[in-house]
Amino acid sequence: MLPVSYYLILSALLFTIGAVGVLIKKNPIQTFMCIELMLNAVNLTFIALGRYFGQMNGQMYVIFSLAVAAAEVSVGLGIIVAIFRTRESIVVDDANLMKS
Amino acid sequence: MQLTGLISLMVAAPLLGALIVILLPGTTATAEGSEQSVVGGVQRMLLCGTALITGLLAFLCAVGMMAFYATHSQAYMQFNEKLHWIPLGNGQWVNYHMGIDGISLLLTLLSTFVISLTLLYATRSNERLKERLALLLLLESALVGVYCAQNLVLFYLFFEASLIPTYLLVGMFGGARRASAAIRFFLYTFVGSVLMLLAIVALYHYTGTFNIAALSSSSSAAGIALRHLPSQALFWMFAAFALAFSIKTALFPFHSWLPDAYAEAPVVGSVALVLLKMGIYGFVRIAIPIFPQQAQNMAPLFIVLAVCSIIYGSLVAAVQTDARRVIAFSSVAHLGFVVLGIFTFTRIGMMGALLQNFNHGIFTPMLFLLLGMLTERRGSTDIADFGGVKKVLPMLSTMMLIATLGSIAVPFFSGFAGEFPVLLGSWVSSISHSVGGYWPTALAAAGTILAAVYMLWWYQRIMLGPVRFEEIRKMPDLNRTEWAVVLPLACLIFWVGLGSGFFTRRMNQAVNRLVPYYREQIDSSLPVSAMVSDEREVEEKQVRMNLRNHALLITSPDAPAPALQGAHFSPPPILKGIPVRGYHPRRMPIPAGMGGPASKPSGVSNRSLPMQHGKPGGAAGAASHRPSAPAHAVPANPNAPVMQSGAGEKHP
Amino acid sequence: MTNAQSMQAILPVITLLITGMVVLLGDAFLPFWRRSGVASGSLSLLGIVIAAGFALDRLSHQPTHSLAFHGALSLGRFTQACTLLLLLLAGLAVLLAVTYLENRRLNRGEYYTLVLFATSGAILMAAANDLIVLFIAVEMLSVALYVLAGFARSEPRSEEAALKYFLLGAFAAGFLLYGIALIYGGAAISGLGGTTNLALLHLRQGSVPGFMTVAGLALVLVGLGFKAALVPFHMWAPDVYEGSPTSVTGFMAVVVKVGAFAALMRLFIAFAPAAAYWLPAIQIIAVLTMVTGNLLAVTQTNVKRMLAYSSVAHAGYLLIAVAAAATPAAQPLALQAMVFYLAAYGLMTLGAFAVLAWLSHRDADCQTLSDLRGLVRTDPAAAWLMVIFMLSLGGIPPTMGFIGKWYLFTAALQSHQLWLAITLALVSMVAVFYYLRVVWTLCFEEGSGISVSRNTLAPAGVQISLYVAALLSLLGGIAPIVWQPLMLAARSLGRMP
Repeated sequence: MLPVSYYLILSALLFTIGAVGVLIKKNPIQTFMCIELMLNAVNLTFIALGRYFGQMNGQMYVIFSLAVAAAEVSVGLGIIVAIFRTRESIVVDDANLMKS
Repeated sequence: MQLTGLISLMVAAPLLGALIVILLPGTTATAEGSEQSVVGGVQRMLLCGTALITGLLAFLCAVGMMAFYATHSQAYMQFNEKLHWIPLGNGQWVNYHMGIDGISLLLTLLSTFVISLTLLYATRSNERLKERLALLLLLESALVGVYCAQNLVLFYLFFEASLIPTYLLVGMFGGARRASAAIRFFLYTFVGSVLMLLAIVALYHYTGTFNIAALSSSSSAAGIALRHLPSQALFWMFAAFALAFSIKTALFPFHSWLPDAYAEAPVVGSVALVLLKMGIYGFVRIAIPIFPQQAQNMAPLFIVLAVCSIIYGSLVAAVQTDARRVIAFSSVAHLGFVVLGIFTFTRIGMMGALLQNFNHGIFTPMLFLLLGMLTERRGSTDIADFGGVKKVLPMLSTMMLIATLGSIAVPFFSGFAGEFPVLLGSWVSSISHSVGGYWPTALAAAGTILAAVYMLWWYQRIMLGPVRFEEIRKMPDLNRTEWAVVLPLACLIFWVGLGSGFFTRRMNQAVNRLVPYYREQIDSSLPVSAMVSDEREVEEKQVRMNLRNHALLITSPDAPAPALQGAHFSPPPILKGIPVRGYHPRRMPIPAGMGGPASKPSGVSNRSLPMQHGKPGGAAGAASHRPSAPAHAVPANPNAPVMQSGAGEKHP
Repeated sequence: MTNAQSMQAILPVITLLITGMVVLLGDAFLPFWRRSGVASGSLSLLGIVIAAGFALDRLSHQPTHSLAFHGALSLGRFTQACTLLLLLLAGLAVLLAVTYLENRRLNRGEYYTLVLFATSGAILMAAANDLIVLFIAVEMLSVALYVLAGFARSEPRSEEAALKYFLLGAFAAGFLLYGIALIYGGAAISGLGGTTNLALLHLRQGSVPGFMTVAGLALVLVGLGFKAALVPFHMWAPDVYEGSPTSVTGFMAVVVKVGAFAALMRLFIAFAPAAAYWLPAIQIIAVLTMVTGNLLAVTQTNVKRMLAYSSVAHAGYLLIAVAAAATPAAQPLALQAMVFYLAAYGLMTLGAFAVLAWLSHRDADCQTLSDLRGLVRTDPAAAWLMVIFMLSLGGIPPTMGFIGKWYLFTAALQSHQLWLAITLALVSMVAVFYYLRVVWTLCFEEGSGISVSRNTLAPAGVQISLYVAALLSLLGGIAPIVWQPLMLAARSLGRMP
């Protein structure tokens, strides 16, 4: 097995890419994809650490994380669809009705 | 007789009254949604009745406390009530602790009395009657709470709780600029209070208690812990308290909220504001007892500020064109007098200051009420719109004259009984320790003259002279309610002016605790020493007289001839066994003949009386001023071991 | 605890979940249910009351601490205290919603389901002894709130609020999860693997944590800080608070804070031995939050946005309690102060939003200061209640907010963090200004604000919640002893099992 630090660094990089993507992307679908990337990077961390410690915990946490992410996806996409229905455009920058 | 629960009744009754008044139907909305606020008939009777009954109930409680107050008791506080209130865990509590002593008693009487009269006056108003009554009752409750609280958290709570009714009174019913006046008032005082809150919590942190009595005494655990703190920490805590109280007292330069608030508020609001004597009370109850050393160190600063208040207030009052602003600025000056008296740290100055505090709370509301009545009739507060009112309203102008003379400090009126001792105390303390020698006293006295100037001029412009406007001729004189409101105040002005002892008797113990005795060593050559009328001083004088008489008896032809310079002199038998300090026969100038009465008492009192408290420093301190005593100081008597140049040598 | 005992201990949450599902199904399948405006609301209220009964029962018979489900949940007295507080606030929020939804024509039963699910999520946040359970609870709370924020579907503002909340919330959830992963990794000691159990983490803590643990803690702080609206993670709050329907905002503002701060407190008490590493960060965040929240609130004319910034500021005050908990000697008082202030904050903020909700009707949501002008003449009850809540928010006696601030001062001084106390005092001065401005507008301004001739449907709900909140605030200010059982229960977190 590779040293665990490799996995951890990889997942850190993936997490960073996802985080930067969230800040940059204008399309909410793309933003959400980046969020999913972040969550999956964390899943990778969990698995790697679980394997390294020889525990089942890592895999268990991943199952939880996947379930939660799935719930979040459904709700999030539902919100985006609702906006799309009324607005015909899902570019986030257009969502500026409230002074921020 | 200690009736527990009287104080809580005094706090709770107006609160209950306010609640009932709020819940009773007050305004009737008409179809257009405009405020229809004329309340009639039964509703009005209910509202006014509840308000008056509860307000008067508080006043009666105060009177009852005054009747049952044990003047000579040594107890720190009377009518104590103590309950657990805020849990701190670990069995520690912040207590609901109320108590009253002479100073609180006087202020409580003042507050309940004036607010009861104001409630009576407010019942005549038509606009928003309910809110006025409710706010006045809430204010009464908060004021009584402040003056009776014995726990710092409770004190702070009532201190702040009084802000809201005042803010609403000023803002809701006031004049054109009431917005900025109310906001400024609130924020100014709130800023000071938050700093005070920090100081309170810091005190708790260092001493573990919020109890004012424990913090003020030097022998309790808290007091001892306080003395051991670095003086830097004590200074900052004192500064925080002093700042909060100075803002509340509108001491120069923190006075700018006061004129606007007084002038823009409605009549009841102005009266309410006058009752904010919590600043003075805070100094006397909290800042000075808990931090005596810092207070005395900073006394010169406060004396300077007080004198500035007096002069500034008087000068600015003289040039105002609005009748109410004249009174407002005169308030600044009067409160300056009070602060001056307190920081002289003499018993007479303090007594005078506290009495002047009380007086200010009588004649200023009276002036505002009368002005309010005039304004109501005339429709304007500008002085230029009046003139010759005396011809049309003789009764009102007489009352106004009484109040004016009271505020000027004319003898037989209350102001004199307050201001004169303050000036006296200032003079006495200037000799021993204050800043600038006789200047504070001189300027304060000048302030009195200025007060006379602007107040009499104000009275003249409004009341005297020809009737310049036709509207004035149509104004009705005082009606029954107005008489009922103003007459008690006028009677009180005379009562205090002629027999103020009735009111100040009960403050003796409290003031004695505030004034460190060694500062009290009045220079005996001053005529002052013969004038103090405190009972203990009377006693002291008696003893002095007795001893002098004995000494006089002894200087009979049998005694050694006193005319010889350097003759050995043995103290008369009656004085044997009493340590003789500061006496050296050789250094004493021996006149031919007996010494006058004044020298004897001082010398004897210095040595022999048990009230000496073993403070040789005091003797030295007072003695060192001897050389500067004017020539009317009586020639030293050989039989009087005068504290002269030997003072430096014979310290036991 | 055995599994059966664990299930019994978790009864409040189970009750809420079951009630939520019944309401959802009833609303979906029974026409009479949908037609009646108050069926869902009443049933959910009933569920809340039953859950509160269970929690009270547990509180009175409870040993000091007890771990349920093999250490996943800690259902000790602190949790029961937080549970009761959450149920009280949720009950008031449901009462408020009954009126608001009816008036805004938003009356759909799934609102109450979501509220109940969110409340149970918050309760689990307060109970979580394992970080992964914390994550699940956070997500339970958040997902329900994402939907609730967008509940007024026809309003673009509401949808926008939902979208912003969702995107930023999911972003923060990612940080939270990564932080948990790093703590999991960093907690490994030789022989045993890593763990996310807070009790075990506390036992394994030395005073020098490893790099992974510190990084993990920081990321968890980011995630939880987002939920609690701490600076610099507060950017979502004004927009989301302003856009969501008022009853949702009220619920969101209070319930999330209680859950988030309970979780933060648990987390940092578990890592208390390593306080030197995280305490400076907490102190800086607290000061920043207090100052920023108050300063930004000063210029707001929209009352909901102003209350949002004020919520941010109050989060800063609450963080003082967390900072104070770093000192073991001050921990019990810090816990007590935090729970009391959470109660005070919950009541006053919910009350303020409830007044706004009461004044809203079909066409106009009561939002701006000009809507409130001169309210004391047209609607004195609403105006005076708002005054009480504003005074409580400003920390002016004799309200609960004052006593709460005083508790925070004491906690800060007992843990020797003088600067936090000074900052709290100074920002209070600034805060009073904008709260007073609302009082001013209500009482002294001429003209009339929101239309007087509204006909509020089902007003009893909001009125009950308002009077209860106001009464408890004043009572808490005059006689804090009524809250003493709650506070005493809260002190027992310190004893980690």
